[in-house]
Amino acid sequence: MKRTRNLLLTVIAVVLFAFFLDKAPELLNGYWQRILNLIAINAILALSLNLIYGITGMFSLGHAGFMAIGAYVSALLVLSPAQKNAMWILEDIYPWLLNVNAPFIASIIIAGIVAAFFGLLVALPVLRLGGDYLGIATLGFAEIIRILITNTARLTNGSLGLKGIPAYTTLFMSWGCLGVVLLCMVCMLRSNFGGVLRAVRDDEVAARMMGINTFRIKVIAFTLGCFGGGLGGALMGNLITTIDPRMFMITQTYNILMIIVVGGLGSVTGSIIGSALVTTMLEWLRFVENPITIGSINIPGIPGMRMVIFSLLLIIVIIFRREGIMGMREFTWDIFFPKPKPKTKPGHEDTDTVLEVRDVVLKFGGLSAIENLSFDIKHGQIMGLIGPNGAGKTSAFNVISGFYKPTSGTIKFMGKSIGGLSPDKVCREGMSRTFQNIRLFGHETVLQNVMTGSRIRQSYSWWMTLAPFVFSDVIREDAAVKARALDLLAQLGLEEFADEKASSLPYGAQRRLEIARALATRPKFLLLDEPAAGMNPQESEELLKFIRRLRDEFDLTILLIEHDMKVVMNVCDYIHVLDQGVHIAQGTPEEIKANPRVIEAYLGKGAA
Amino acid sequence: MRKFLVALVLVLMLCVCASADDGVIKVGIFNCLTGQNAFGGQLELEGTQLAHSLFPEILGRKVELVIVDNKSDKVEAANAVTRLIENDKVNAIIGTYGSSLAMAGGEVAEKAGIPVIGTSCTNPLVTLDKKFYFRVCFIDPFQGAGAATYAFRNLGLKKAATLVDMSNDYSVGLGKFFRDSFKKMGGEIVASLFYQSGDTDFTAQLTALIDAQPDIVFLPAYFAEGAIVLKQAKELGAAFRFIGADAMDNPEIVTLGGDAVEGFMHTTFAYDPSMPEMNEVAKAFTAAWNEVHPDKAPNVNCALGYDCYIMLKDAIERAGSADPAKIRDALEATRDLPTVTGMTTINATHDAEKDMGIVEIRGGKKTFVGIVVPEV
Repeated sequence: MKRTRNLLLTVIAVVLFAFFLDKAPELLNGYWQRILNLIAINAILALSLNLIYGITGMFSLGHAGFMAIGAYVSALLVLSPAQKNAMWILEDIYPWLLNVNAPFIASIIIAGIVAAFFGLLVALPVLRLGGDYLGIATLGFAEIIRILITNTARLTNGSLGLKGIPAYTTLFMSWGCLGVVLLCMVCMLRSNFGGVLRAVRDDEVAARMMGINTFRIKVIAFTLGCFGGGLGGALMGNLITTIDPRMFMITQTYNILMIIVVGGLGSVTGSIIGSALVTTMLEWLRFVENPITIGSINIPGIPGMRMVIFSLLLIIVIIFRREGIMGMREFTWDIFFPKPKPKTKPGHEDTDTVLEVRDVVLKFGGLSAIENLSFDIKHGQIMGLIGPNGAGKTSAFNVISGFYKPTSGTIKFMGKSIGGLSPDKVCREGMSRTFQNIRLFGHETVLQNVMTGSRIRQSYSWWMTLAPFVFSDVIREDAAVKARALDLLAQLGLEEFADEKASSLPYGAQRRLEIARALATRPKFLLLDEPAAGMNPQESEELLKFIRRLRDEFDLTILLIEHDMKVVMNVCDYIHVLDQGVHIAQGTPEEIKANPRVIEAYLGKGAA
Repeated sequence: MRKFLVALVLVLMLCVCASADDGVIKVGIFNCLTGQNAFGGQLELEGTQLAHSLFPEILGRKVELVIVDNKSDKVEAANAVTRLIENDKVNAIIGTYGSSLAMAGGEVAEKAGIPVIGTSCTNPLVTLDKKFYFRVCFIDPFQGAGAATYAFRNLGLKKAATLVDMSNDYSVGLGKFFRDSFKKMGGEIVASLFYQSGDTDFTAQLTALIDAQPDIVFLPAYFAEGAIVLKQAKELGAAFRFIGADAMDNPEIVTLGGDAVEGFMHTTFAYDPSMPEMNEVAKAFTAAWNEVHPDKAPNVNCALGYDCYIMLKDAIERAGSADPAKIRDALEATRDLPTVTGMTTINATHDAEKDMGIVEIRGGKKTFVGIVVPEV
């Protein structure tokens, strides 16, 4: 009902806008038509950079480079041989290039694909880096592209640039391209795959533990973003009809970056509002550079004044709305209507497992974090791992869950060796964990957090999300995942928070949410890292029951680290004790309580 | 606070709307008033404004200048020209410094059928196949050949080299045309070296040049890099001379370059305040300029900005109308028009054919040493 209503409203809006574009040549003068065109192109560029930076969290400064590739590829394809002959005055054009020709639509698609190809080439080595390093590396890449274009005169006409590119970028063309990009992107971001992208941004470590191959996800998002960059560059070239390498300097990237920061990092709506705002403001503010007469006061025009005012406005936006105009929110028709509550459906589980840890050693340089750890866990057991601070408990967790590769020794999970597998692969095998310091995807809703956990159990491919109406699997599987997520939330008493931001939840609820998210990956084995941390005695009491219930309802085997002795002694079937990386004791809770070595480790020599 | 903002916006909008009356001839100016080319763009604007203040009326009608900045950016240049044509309904346009900007703006004007006179956009592609774009300056091949002719014929130098900014279309073009022309006359090019805009260390290129032992090095650089090249060449004890092009024509060259620029030559338009025999237009221009700007000497950019207005005025007067199409036809028929930079004739490709001047720094002063007829 709501979907139909929103779809209808969207269709009406699109039709009205198309009608407006059709009438634009009569309604608007050429100047405003040009600005409308620029808004669409800037929006495409902003959306593509937002996909890379705002949504997937990769700080890239290379967009101008991909624009350059797109603009040149498209221009070389649409220019006629006669024009090319007249332009290459310094060096001769390559003969094969002279007669290469393609229709405009094909040229912009090829432009996008070539840019995406280069994006992929860059992504493979560079995305191993993160944060600022990635920014510097991509910045360098954009500069390399520009210098290559300057110096391959036979291919690109060097610094002379290309001119006389046919002005194919009409209003329908630019807005049509924006429409397609927008549709694909919104569909993708609304699918669970979109949730995965945001999850990678919010917490890469947690995402890996949810079975997500984060490197692959980043490469896909980066490559798609580069496609958008190439497409935008191609449209830009065909709008202003002349391009040269100096057009694609770092300032070009800054302009796009400015749009997405003003609009809101991570918001599709924000990118569009941002590009409309920045593009029109820059032009509208031109009047401040002309002489102004207010009453009897004459203010002479000052060139550059509009950039001063524009920068001031930017600073004001950043001071008062650091997250940009839209933040991470999106426009939806729902803001005009009160919202109804969704319903839930039940799911199901299955298990059968043993974890076998043999002689595992973990060393960091000369320091050994774990020495010769060996233990087994039987199906349905709740096993405790205890020890004083620095005993190596979390290191043991990290080795088991794949974050660290054991220096030596074997780890077998359900008969299969998993030592050295990456976290996402370990997760696929049916193991999930929580973290000592909670790692939720803070900007996402509670529901989306849980749904991200289910991504690895879905069968559709990422590219299907670009056109979900064609690949109905996307819609069907997402609906199933959503139902299951809501069900999990209900079982963990979180259903009331479903649409709230994860970071806004109370502490205890965040802990439960992390468990819900872990359960969404359908684990057979769950690792809980200090679930009782920060809880009061009453809350720990509830936790005890909760952990038992988890085991029974989800048919799980559980390994937990805990400092709260009351919890450990009451819930665990069996306990292993570590001290400074050495496995010093094991036994039932009663045996452990009486073990002198354990008491010594906790309280110091003499206490025993 | 909010009310105040609303009021402010309303007042500002009123100011924008408060112009438009009949009978006025509107001349649009798009030039780089900010950004990397702002230096040249500003000087050209001042030249045009000077001409406007001397001749505020054409055909008895008031002339209004509408000035827009193109920020030395192509997208902005196209926007600026569109704005002049669509919003301000100008009759003709003057601009700009920087050929790539002229090309971006030119496409728009061509489609709208509004004539444009380029100030110092010297790339041949600017007017190629354009009905409505003209220019008051000569083009790169002409200037490259001019420097070669002067070096080979007047100075009798037989071995030359070039040092070119690879990332700059102007520099690359001039370098090529210099080499072509110099070889054609029978000279030898002993080295051809490159740098990138923004470089600050030219020791490697200069050392290579010193090894190649040319008599003269052609340096079609912008002033920022050109001045450093000259300075470092002096420090390395280079024996050869340098000749540059019009982008090195800068009133500050002596104060900034000091000793290092002594003996440096550059081609330029046939105007310099130090010229011994000025024509009447140049005299009038120099006098008026000195009156308005007593603290700075005019350079060719100022003169070209001035000449654009003179050329436009002449065309409107001959056309007897400010109709854009008629102005265009009249501009095309410009023959032997006396301008500050010599007699201007518009040729078939809409480029100005005019004499070329050579300036040399002698005794710490810019000295106009003569006129050269390039052998293209």
